[in-house]
Amino acid sequence: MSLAPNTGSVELKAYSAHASRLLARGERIDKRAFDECRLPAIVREERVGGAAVAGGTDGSLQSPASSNMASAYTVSDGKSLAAVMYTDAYGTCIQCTVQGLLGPPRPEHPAAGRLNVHVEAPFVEHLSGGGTSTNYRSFQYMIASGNADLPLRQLEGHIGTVLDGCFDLSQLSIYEGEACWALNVSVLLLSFDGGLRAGSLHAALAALHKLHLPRTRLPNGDVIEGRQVQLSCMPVACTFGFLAGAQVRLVADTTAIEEHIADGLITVVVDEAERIVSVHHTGRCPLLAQALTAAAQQWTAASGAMRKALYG
Amino acid sequence: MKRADGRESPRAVRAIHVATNVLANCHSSACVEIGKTRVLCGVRPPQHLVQEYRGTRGRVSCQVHRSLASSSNLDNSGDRDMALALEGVAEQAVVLERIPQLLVGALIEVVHDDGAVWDAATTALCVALTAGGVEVYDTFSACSAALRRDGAIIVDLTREEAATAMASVVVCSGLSLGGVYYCCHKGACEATTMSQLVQAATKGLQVRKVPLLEQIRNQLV
Repeated sequence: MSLAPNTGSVELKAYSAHASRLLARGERIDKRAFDECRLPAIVREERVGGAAVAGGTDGSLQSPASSNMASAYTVSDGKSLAAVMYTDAYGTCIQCTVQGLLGPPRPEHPAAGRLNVHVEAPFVEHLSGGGTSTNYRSFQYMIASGNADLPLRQLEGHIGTVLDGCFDLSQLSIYEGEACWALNVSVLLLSFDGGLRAGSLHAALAALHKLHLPRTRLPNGDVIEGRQVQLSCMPVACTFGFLAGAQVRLVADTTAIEEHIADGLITVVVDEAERIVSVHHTGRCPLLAQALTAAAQQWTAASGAMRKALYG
Repeated sequence: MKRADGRESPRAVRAIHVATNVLANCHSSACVEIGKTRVLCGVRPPQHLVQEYRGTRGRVSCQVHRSLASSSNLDNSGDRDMALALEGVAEQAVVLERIPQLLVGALIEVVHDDGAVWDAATTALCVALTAGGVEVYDTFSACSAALRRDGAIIVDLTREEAATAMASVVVCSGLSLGGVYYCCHKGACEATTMSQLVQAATKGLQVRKVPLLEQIRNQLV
């Protein structure tokens, strides 16, 4: 998945040719080495909700086995549980906010909580909602917009897939089959320069790292103590650009113009135990298995600085 | 009497912070924070108007987008009304004869909402248009005032205060020349109380004028 870069007043074709010549000579436009990645700066806003949310008018206590969740219970002030801003020196700004609601679990997974990921990019010209309608869940939007926001939905799927592997949803369960936390992870893409899949995943992981669920009260009067949820591993992602030719070369942490030039993109997600969490490849030509293993090994060896910058 | 967010006086306004050119892929942009409210405004590069709209004046179009993290419901009719009202404000404040046959598109993103969204949105729109080279008659901003249930008049409402107010007023006017571009009243109150609300909002604007103009001058020069 590659978006056309914003080249300002320079024509895209001329800029692409210039970047191609530099890459053929073994250089990059921003003077980085081929295996150097950009380190982010994480700004955290830890906002825990009220100490005790007042329950409903029902004062009678019921046993947990016979309690009945009539409706989802919203945290009264609507404050977010965690807010993280992912920035780096290239102007990237991705904001991730986690909000929590109380609700029933899914019938197929009664012992697990719920986690929803939503990605929005309002300032990207061809990704923002069509016309004036920004209600992403209305039928008019689904009919009229076509595939305009397909990259955003693919991003949601990618983040959800990685979170399935490293976030245990049973931590969000309160009563099995009755009550659980439903987390809404909202990723807001304000400004980016390539590496969109890795950047948005990093923002979501930084927000969910050491997330604190507040002390709350169910409608039947039960008080649920606050607790901290953990990620089972600490994955980090990197996007590699694949340059085909006589000798295959990998460009680590591609910018937008490099993604436009590259023959393929490989996004590798590894954790601290050197295990591969996810690999995603898109490209214009088939990929050799040696290139895939080379990208995974290169990122496994060089992911320590990114993990330190991301998780602290 | 102390307010919920620690302000001592009912006429005290929260501090405003302005930053320009915060988004890399916009023609110009501005970020305005009032208390916990944060609003971003991005201006797209001007494009030519289509054939039937050509003339001696340009146009400024506004969209208001609210991310799902800042609002828990899916009703966005208030945002559409706000976008139309902001277009009206921009039509009065921007010198449209200087941009003939051009369409300047502005997108306002409400990142976090703790009341005073109108104040932050108008300030962000004005700063973003000015940073992008669009000429305005006057620097405009907005302020809100409300009548509480105990009869007190408060200025610069938070979200809880706006939800529990009996009547509220939003005034958008220029800071130097003093022209009123937009005035919206909600709720029920007497006519004399409404005039007091409008005066309180105008005084709140004057209180915020000096730090706002100082930040704009420091950011743009």
